[in-house]
Order: sequence, then structure tokens, then C-alpha cells
Amino acid sequence: MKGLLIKDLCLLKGQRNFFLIILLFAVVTLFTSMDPVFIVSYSTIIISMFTMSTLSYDEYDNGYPYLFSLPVTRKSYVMGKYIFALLICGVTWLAAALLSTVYQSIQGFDRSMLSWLFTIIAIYLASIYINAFMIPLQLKFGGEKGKIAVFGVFVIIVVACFAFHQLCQIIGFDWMEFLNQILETNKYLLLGMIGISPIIILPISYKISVMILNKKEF
Amino acid sequence: MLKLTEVEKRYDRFTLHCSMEVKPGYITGLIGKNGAGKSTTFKAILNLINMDKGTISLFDKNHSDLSLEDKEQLGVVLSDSGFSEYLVINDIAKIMKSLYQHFDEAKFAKLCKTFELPKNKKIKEFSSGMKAKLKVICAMSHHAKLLILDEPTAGLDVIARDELLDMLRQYMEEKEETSILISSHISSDLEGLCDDIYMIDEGNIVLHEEIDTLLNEYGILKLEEEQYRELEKKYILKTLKENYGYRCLTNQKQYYLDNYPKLVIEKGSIDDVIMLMVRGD
Repeated sequence: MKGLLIKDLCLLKGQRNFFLIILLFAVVTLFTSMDPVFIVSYSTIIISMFTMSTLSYDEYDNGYPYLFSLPVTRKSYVMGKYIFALLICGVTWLAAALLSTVYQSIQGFDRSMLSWLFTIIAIYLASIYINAFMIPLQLKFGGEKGKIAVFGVFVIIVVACFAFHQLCQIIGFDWMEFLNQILETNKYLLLGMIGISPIIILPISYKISVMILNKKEF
Repeated sequence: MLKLTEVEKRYDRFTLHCSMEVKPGYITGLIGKNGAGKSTTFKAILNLINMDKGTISLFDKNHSDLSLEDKEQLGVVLSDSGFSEYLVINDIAKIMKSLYQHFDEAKFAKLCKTFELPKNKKIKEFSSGMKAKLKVICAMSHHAKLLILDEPTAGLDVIARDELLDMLRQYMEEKEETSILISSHISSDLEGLCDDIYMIDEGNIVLHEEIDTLLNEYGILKLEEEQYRELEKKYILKTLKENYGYRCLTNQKQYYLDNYPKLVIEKGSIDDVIMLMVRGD
């Protein structure tokens, strides 16, 4: 698996110019818009797309048959992708969070430290969810079809949310009020559940990805 | 070393049905036209496709039960697949070093230098010949016991092909009990390299023979109608109707040389043998 991680890091290194543009944009935005939340979320979410990019590189020019003829199992290949995703998102998130925290401690915080901490943790969790969602989709449908599949799933989610909202209006159920009540009464329980959710979501996503790859023929 | 027993893989318009063996210390060739089933055979061996029937034994184990250590004993070249072309040779050296316990970095660097492959240029900028050489160098740089080479000479000019085949011969000389399974559609590559050869056509193995036997004992008889009628056909494998009469393939050339001194009998090249095995009746 170490070899696969090195391969992905080498591919990432090949995109260093894109990396520098992201960094530059983040720094410029920090000093112009002064929105630290945007800096952390922008950098972390953008970098999480690099895992999909390495999957596309592997797929490009029919690279999978050769990769799986090396001392690599399909399981370790998938595991490598998740570790790579957590690693690059974690490092970028940490760097952006530290930079923004330092910036705010110089400029003065406009929110409580606890609120800031919750916000940046939520951003890292979001990057985990994105990867947990996108990796199996990309393995199943490949680079080009994968993008269509992701778009399709988002459309389904939006339509489902809209339908749910309409249904609630028809039956006279104020779901926003209901949600607020739950948040107020079970705030810490919910936060805890969200916090530990990657422990459940990541293994499920990993299992699905392994299943998809095991079924594939090259 | 490697044994395929009654391997069957069915697609909509193609079925592979193949049994073959690569013995320790042997260079075994697999030859056939494009689409004959060579790459499918390689993919079955490497467990890249699921078989419908049959067994494949590799290093005395089922090919799907190989450990990572076993897979390290394989050196693979695939005609249509390789490392990402966005990598450079220096990246590949690092990756190989992490993947293979016995990766010979010095040998890898030396071979890259010999073949004038730039270390910091992206593979996508290489010529097709340079890409082919790099694939073979990767396969030969970690002391593999079995090289599985699918069309390794594709895209190479005559000189580069010769250099590459020399590399393979040298590899065999350095390591006893090493074997090579190599496919090519260029018969002359295999003629001077292999110990034995399998011919594949439309997914079926149509001939297996030691290369010396093939070159020394197989022959092509060119016959007029009358000569054909009077010919003893016991040792004729295939016959093809021609404008002048018949062309026949035999595996007992000496018999016809001794008993029919007036016949035109040519030494059978691999191309002739394939052509008659595939097109003859």
C-alpha cells in the first residue's frame, strides 16, 4: 500500500502548480474578504477532489490492469485511496485551520472559540463525507460517467428534499421548528453523533468500494 | 511454474478455450493474430478477469490465492496498460522500491541509462518505443521468477527489438529456473528466443511445439494436382488449395524428403505454419 500512496503523492506533485494557485487564492481571500470559514472550507473541499483525480489518473489509458498485476490487492488499493484522502484533506485542513486561527487571534475573534472549533471540525467532516460518497461512485462508474452519476445523485437529493418540504407543508408539519427543538434539547448528543459518524460511514463506504472493485474485470 | 488447464472465458462474440504450460527455465511463446485471445489469456493468468471454467496454477498455487510475496515473483508487461503516463521515471523508481522487496535500483537506473530514457520527463512525452522499453525494464528490475510479457516488442524498431530480446536472453542466463511467457504477433521475435511455442486462433490453442522441432521437422510441401493425389497423406497436418495445386503442412519433413525426392519441400517458418494451421483444412 505504501507504493500506492507514493504513486498518488507523485501524481499530486505533478499538479503542484494547481496547488500553488489554490494556496495563493486562499491567502489572498483571507486578507481581502477576511472570512476564515471560507478559507478552511474552500481549501479542504478543493483538496478532497484530488483523490478523485488520482482515481482518474489510474483509470486513464487503461491503467488498472497493470496496477493489479503488481504486488497490490484490490482491497489494499481501495484502502490506499481512503488513507490518501484522509491524509491530504487532514493536512490541508490543519494548515488552513491553523492559519485562520492565528489570523483571527491577531485580528480578534468575532465568535467564541468553541463555535470556531465546531465550525472547522464540521468542515473536516464534510470533506470526509464527500470522499466517502465520491470514491465508490467513481470506482463504479469511472471518471466521466462518475461525474454524471454524482450530478444525478445530487439532483435526486434536491428533488427529494423539495418533495419532503412540499409534503410537510401539505400536512402542516413545520420540520424546521421540529429540527430546532431537537437541536436545542439534544445539542451535545447530536454533535457527538455527527462527530463519530465517520467511524460508521467510512467503513461502510470502504466495504462498498471493495465490493465494486472486486466485481470489476479489466 | 505456470499451468492453465481447460481455461474457458466466454464473451458475447468470443470464447477463449486454452490449456498451456510454462516449464521452469523455459521461454514459452504465445503467437496469434490480433484478437486471437493472447491478451485474454494473459488477463486470465493475472486474475484480471473471472474465468467461466478451468484452473490456473502459478508457482504451484491457484492463481487467485497468490500472496503479495508471490506476486513479487512476477514481472509483467501488458500491451495496453502501464504506469500512469503523468509519472516520471524517478517516480516509478520510488514506487517500485516500495512495492518490491528485491527491487534492484542500480540495475533499473543502469538499464534506463542504456536505453537513454530521461529520468525527469513525463512518460506521456515518451515515444512508443521508449514506453515499451520502460515497461520491460520495470518487469526485469526486481528479480522476478516468471516474466509475463504481452507484446513487449510492439512499437519498437528492428534494432530496439533486437536489444530488448538480447536483454531477455541475458536475464534468462543470469537466473536459472526463471521462465518467460511472451506473446507477439511478430514471429521472428519468438523464433530466435523461445524454447516452445503455442499458437492461438479464435480463442483456441491450435498448435504446441518445441521451437527446434517446429523449425527442423515441420515443412511446407508445394504440390501440383497429380502429385497431391499420389501423396501419402498420413503425415499431412493441413492442406490449402492454391492456384498451382496444393500447399501442405507436415511435421514429418524428412519422410517426404526421403520418399518424394522430386517434391518442392520448404522449411516451415512460423508464419507459414500459422497460416496453414489457421487457413488450411
